[in-house]
Amino acid sequence: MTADARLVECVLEGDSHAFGELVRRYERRAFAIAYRLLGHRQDAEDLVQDGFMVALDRLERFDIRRPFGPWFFRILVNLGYNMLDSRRVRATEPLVEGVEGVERVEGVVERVEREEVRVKVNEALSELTERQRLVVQLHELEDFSTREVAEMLEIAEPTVRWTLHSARKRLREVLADWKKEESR
Amino acid sequence: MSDGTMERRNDGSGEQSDREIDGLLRSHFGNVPADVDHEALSARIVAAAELRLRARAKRAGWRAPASRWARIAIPAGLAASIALILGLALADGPPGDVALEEVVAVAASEALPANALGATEQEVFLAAVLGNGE
Repeated sequence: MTADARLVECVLEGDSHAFGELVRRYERRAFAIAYRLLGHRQDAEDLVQDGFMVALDRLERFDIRRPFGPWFFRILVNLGYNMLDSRRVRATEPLVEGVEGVERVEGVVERVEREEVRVKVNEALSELTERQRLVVQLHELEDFSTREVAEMLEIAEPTVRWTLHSARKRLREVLADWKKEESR
Repeated sequence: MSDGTMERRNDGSGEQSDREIDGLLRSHFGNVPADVDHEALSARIVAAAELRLRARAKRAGWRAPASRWARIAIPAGLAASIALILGLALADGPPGDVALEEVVAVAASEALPANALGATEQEVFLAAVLGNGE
């Protein structure tokens, strides 16, 4: 039995220390997912809390032979999409404008900040659906594996790989165009 | 953790290009805020779950002995049922046939006078069963 399974069994008996441990194990990654999904810090914190509450309510349905993370993240993502629908929050809007918490990457970013490139990048990434953008963010920026992303978004792993491949290909084209123009 | 990085290494675009693309993505999407107080958030979540956990502990108070009892009683009951079914199945002949034979034997012995008058076996049997043979 895994450590997570033992914790879940204790939580099922109402052990708050076990629940606290489970929260500490998954809260950071959950926050990253929630923030990538909602693009807003406070909303992301609320979503993480709601996610743990819903997971606690549904804990009897969790199969302790399976890992806890993907099951919990799936709940979180579904809740996040519901929140997006109900609050009509656009996931990427605040991030594109570089609001709170956005740290700029030196070097590359200095060049990217050229308006022309930025517009092209925005165009290229706006061709992706909301879900595809989330795939790119979770894998490329938050280091979730393609399998983890597939499980939490309930899509096939080849679809995740294809999305990542398409996004990178499109960005490479944008980059190549920009370099070509710059060298003229 | 990332298993999708293989594509990046094998596509021939080079490390420089990959870093630039990483930069483009990070610039576009931004970073997750680094100054979040995760300890406070965890504590808030645990506090919010307190009532639910207490309710669970309360339920577990009577459920645990019941669950332990069920763990023994259910397999034992199942085993007893299987044993009973097997016992009946392995008994000599089906019980319905035995009963019929007994009825026929009794009917035959009691219906001799009727048989002597030339009644068929079927008539003797029916007379014995319905009580009209006397």
